Amino acid sequence: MREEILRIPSATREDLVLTAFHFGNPTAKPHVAIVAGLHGDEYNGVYAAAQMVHRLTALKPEQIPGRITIIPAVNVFGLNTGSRFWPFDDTDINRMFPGYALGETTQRIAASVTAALRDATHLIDIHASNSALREVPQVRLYDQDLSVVEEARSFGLPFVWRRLPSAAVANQMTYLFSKRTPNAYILQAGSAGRINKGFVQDVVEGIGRFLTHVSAVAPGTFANDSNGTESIVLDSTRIGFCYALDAGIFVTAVSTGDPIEEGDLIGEIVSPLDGTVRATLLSPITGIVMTLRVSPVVYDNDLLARIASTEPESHPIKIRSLREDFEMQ
Amino acid sequence: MSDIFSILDIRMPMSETYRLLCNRYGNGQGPRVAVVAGIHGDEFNGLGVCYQLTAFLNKLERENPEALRGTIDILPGVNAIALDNGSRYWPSYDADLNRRFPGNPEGSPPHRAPAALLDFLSGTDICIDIHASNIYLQEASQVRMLDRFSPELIPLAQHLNLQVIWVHAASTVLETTLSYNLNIRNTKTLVVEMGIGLRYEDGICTALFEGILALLKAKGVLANVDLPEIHAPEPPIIATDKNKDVHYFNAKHSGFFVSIAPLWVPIHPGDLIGYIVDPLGGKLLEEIKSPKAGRLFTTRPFPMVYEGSLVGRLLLDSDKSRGEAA
Repeated sequence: MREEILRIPSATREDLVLTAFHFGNPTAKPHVAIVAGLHGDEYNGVYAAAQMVHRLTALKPEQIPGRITIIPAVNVFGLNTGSRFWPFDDTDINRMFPGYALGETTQRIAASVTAALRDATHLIDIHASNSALREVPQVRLYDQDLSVVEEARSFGLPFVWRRLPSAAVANQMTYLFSKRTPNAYILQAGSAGRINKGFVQDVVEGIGRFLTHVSAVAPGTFANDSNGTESIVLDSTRIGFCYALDAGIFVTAVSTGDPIEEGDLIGEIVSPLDGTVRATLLSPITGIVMTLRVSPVVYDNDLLARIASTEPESHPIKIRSLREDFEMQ
Repeated sequence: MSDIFSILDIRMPMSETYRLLCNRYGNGQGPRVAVVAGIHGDEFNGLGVCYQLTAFLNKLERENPEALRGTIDILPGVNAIALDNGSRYWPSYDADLNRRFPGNPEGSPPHRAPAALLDFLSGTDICIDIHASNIYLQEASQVRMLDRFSPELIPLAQHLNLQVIWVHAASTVLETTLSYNLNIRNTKTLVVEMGIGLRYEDGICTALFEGILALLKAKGVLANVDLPEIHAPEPPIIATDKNKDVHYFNAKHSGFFVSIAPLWVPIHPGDLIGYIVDPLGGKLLEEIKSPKAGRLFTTRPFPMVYEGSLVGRLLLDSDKSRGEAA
């Protein structure tokens, strides 16, 4: 069922309409909510959510014993113009939660999404990175409870990253939801501004595995999908954060998903004026390239890569620069 | 002589260096005061106030150097790259610097600049952080502060020659601003909001300039000096969220807003604040009238509105909030 959860007229264009799709029995549990497009340039998430709508629409009622709500595109005007924030006033909708139903437009949008999530038991919030970085499909979560970590593994995506919230996420949708209901997952895949088709496929199949795991859909519903992968569970001490040591043009020597050994070349920072190599970036640990800078113009201390450790937990990691980063909150 | 120096250099990818520049008057002795502007690159009034201050202090150094009894740091262009093209946020990162404090000294530029600024200003006795609204709203000259800091800040704010002191309830706290991070570190920080983005408004900037000089004199940073005459000696009105001193006007319709009532003129119940029309159909969608008496301290010159857009704020007439609350 398709529902209009918010309509706001505009002075010069068609109305803003925020759409939710409902599947399954309206009183059933679990109630899994899937939200995408909080940022208007993150097309991977919107495309993945839209594909889920498409797949669930094709199912028979008995295949959906739970309840699923999908809001595939929150920042509808931003998606039309390719802008991350709400175009009218450059506001980040994902910093306006829980919202205010009588407030400015972005507060109303947040309030209508909050209302749609009111009795959800699980939240999946699909993002791409920004346009500067590319992410291997991964699950991020704020709650540190081990049962939530176990549930996050059911996506079968390459990484599960347990993060610590900072003041910067105080008004973020998923963080606020996680304070009430710990089963809140941020999926990250690819880059803003483009469709990374293989990553989107991974996310769509991962959500299918998750829905099956929590019994929102019947076993075998997505039997033709892959089984996914064994997730590597990370916290920030298990990630090698690689930062630019100088400003310039960043030229990569690796790709996302590549295995890499400690000391291997990740890339070089080159002077755009005379071609001199200003800095050489080597991997601080042995692992997999989880995050990679794809926008070449960098300042020093910009995040260039995150290497996910593949060493056993007991193996001490020697990391030159180890700190929680603030870039992708 | 004053000393211009950089508190942070960031090499840019091509050939330029971003520099967070400060002009220091005094030798580091005595009370220390800082004036900061341009954290948002679309707010220019603060740069104008800084110019008036630096020009005044240059003349003072030449003619009456003994008058300066403290240290005054002027930082007019924190978000220098954004100011240069009139964008509110730090370009390419689209980062709001005033949501990045306390920052990260090892982070990317929009995290490093807040960290360097906070580190530099730590130990300052009084900081004035000048803002000029945004491109949508016109603000009467005002100081905004959190309730918990108000006992110490109101006596300072009363010198600044402004129209309103607005004390916010705790629920509106933003922990990532410069002012919050300085106030919890015992630097008494006054956030000035005045005028509108993308403009320089000479009259209100001159009034704040005169107010800052009055504050400097009151705190002993300037002594034995003839200051310019204060043009608007009326004391500021103190408005608090707690006392519900502020009435908000929000659009009920999306459309084209025509602002009628100007800032700061007396408003009576029933007076027209503005109206919203439909430019295509030629229809009047809504007349916005004031239910109460007071003065508008926020108006909306930017005409495009959506349902819920703020189109004005009224400071309600009330004897209790006049001037003497401190």
